[in-house]
Amino acid sequence: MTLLDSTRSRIRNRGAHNGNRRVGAVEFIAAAVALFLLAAALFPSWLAPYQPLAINPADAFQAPSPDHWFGTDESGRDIYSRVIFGARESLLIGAAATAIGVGLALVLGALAGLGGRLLDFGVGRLLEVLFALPGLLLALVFIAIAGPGVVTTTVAVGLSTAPGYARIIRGQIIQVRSSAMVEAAVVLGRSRAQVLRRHLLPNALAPVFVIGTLGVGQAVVWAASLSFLGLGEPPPAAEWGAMLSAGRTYLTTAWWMTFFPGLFIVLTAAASTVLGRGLQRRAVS
Amino acid sequence: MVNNDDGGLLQVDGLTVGFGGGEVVQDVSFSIAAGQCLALVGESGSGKSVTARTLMGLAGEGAGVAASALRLSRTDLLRMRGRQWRKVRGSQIGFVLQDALGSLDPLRPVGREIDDALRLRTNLSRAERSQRVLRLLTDVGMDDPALRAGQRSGELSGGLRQRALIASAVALDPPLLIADEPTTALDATVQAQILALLESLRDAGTGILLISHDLAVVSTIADNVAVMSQGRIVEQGPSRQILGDPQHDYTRRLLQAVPSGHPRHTRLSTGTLQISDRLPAMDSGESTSMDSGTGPDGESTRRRGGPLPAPSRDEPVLEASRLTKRFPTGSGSFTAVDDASFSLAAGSTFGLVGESGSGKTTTARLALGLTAPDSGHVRLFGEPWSAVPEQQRRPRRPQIGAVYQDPMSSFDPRLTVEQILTDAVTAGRSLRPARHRAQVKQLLDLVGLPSSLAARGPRNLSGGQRQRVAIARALAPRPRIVVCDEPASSLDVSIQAQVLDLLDELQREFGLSYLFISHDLAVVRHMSDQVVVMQGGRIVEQDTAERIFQAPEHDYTRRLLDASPRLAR
Repeated sequence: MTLLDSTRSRIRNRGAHNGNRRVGAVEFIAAAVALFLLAAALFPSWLAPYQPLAINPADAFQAPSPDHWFGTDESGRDIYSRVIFGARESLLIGAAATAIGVGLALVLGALAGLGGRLLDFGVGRLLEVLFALPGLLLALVFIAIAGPGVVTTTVAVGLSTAPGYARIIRGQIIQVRSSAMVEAAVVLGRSRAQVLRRHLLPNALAPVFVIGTLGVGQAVVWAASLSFLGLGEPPPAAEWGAMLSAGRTYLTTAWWMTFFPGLFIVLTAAASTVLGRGLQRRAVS
Repeated sequence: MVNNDDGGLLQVDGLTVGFGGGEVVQDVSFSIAAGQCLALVGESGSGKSVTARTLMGLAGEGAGVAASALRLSRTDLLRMRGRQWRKVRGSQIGFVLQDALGSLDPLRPVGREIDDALRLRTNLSRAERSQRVLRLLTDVGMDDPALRAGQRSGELSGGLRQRALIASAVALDPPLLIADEPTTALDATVQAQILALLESLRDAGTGILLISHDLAVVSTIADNVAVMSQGRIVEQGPSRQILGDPQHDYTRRLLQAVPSGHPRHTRLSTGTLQISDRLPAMDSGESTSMDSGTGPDGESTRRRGGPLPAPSRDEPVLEASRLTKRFPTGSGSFTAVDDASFSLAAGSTFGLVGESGSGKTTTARLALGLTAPDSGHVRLFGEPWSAVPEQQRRPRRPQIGAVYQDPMSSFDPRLTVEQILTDAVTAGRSLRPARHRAQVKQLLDLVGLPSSLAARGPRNLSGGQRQRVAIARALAPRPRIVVCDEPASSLDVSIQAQVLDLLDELQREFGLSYLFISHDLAVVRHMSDQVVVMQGGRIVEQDTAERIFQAPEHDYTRRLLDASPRLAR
């Protein structure tokens, strides 16, 4: 009987609600990983025993050992040090790309949400066209036009994530705009600018920060994908995607060359996702 | 071991239910005989719903249930475990919840919902079951059962939905029906129909446990009444005795709080301070404010205790003439307000009554200048209001405030009470409370809230406290008119009484004029000088409150009045 089920689920929901704010073991680990990555990005030389570009042909293709935790590559460079030094690059690209994506989305979303029916229609159709193309393809098209490089990669990833954020922002703005809270402010005699500044933007943007946190992980993966294709930082640089690409040739003999950079990409994406979800859960309750 | 003292169908003795630390139901005892209705009355949090759920074995995880007896005819409910309950639910006890929309599966036709119970618990063939479903739907008063059985809950109106839910609850002909606030969300006429339906079930021999906070509803149908407060039954007996000659203080307070035919300005609540007791504190404040005796335009708007200034009495503060508002729909348009004219006199209350969909809220929005009328116009203090652009309305907005049914959604969830009021006091220029603390404190005093609540967010307030904050915010710009859209409808009766009393005091204190909207006739009668009855966007009757309620002329008004349950003592 449905009414019993609804009662039961209500009771269960109440239980879940109480557990909402507790920090779980997974979230704790994710926070620790994020802190470690942040430390690696800010002070790589504290954590890395070797220079990322220091060549030592005698030590080429060493398997992981106490001397070289993650082993060495074809030129005898220490993989662990390279992975640590690569964190800055990857995180920076991830964060900057997300910032570009959210920033662009903010403009598009605000135009659509506040600009009246015509603008909303125009922006809406534009977003639909962008949605029709896979995000990575969009990035590739941009790189094909602007040429490869770190900056282009970042902008490309930012551009390709923007449509998703723009839709969310538009939806938020429209929802808050027609809320009783905004109506109450209008009744109190607030001007459009005041309502926008005080109620509309803060309430519409709060969820975007949460989604942005989720997005950093995705952006890191995309940036690495582009580097893997040789469209980001040129070869000797310690960049995770480029390292993956370089290790691919030796996959059968030196698995560690691909495994560890890949592991860090996964860790970054997973940590940002877990933290983002945690924030989301708290924001909703 | 059948208890036969009073033909006992349900016997509850010394029921105690606890969650973790506290006991929410303590030592509750009552019994229900076949064909009898017991009403469990009390405010939110008094433990009535927990009691009902416990009877269904749905007290919830971690609930500690103890009782010296919990028996449904021959079944000992205390010894029920897990699966055994399923045999009881539906076939022995039917359950009707307040929220029919949430209780029915939105994706399945209601006929299938009812069929479920029959399919699982009886050996009827498919054809017999569908016959039975149609008969059940006919029994609960559905006009076209074959059509209704095929509709989903979202396609039905509130009343039909509640009927469908009752049909599913009585499908297996359970001897006991538990109805938890079955009519609370419904319009008066629909409520009357549902109550009549419950009454006919009772007369057919079903025992009913009716849970309600509404004493008027209870008085129309219950044979016995048990009054609950803080988990205990404080008083219990035949309804005539409990409602007519209450012994316990709490019962008396509840009864007094029901607005039913008391003369206007009679206080409904007890225990709270009168506004005049709170005012000295205000005078000592630095004060700009509300009790300076001057209106926004510097002219005297009130004299404490004395009559209002003569000039403002003649001329209406708000005038609506021939307002019409249409909303486009899929095909053509829907007329929400149709040729409505009325005028609000200074210092008086203008009540707007009607069922849901009658255009009350649209009228309020037109009066507030939030929606432009398609034709007709609104004038505020003799000046054009609806006809001018928003930029010209904005500077005059402080003259007209609003209080809504759901204050929670009208507050920015990020702000604290103090910030909400500071924002209102400073006309949106600042959220920093430091310099305006005195004014915020005055506002809180005015609505009877302790200043210790200032730092809380609206989520952490009770419903009554939230509505008081909403009222304080509406009063901050010193308006002369306040539009109240169902300001007390979502509150418990005693909290409703406090809020209504507060509105009444504030009106007399500041010479406010109210446009007061409610679906509850008793509330409107209690608050209003003039009343307008709306139906389908049209004003069907307009007169003084006294005449409307004593001698209604229009059929619809009479129907509404007949339908609204009155406290029978």
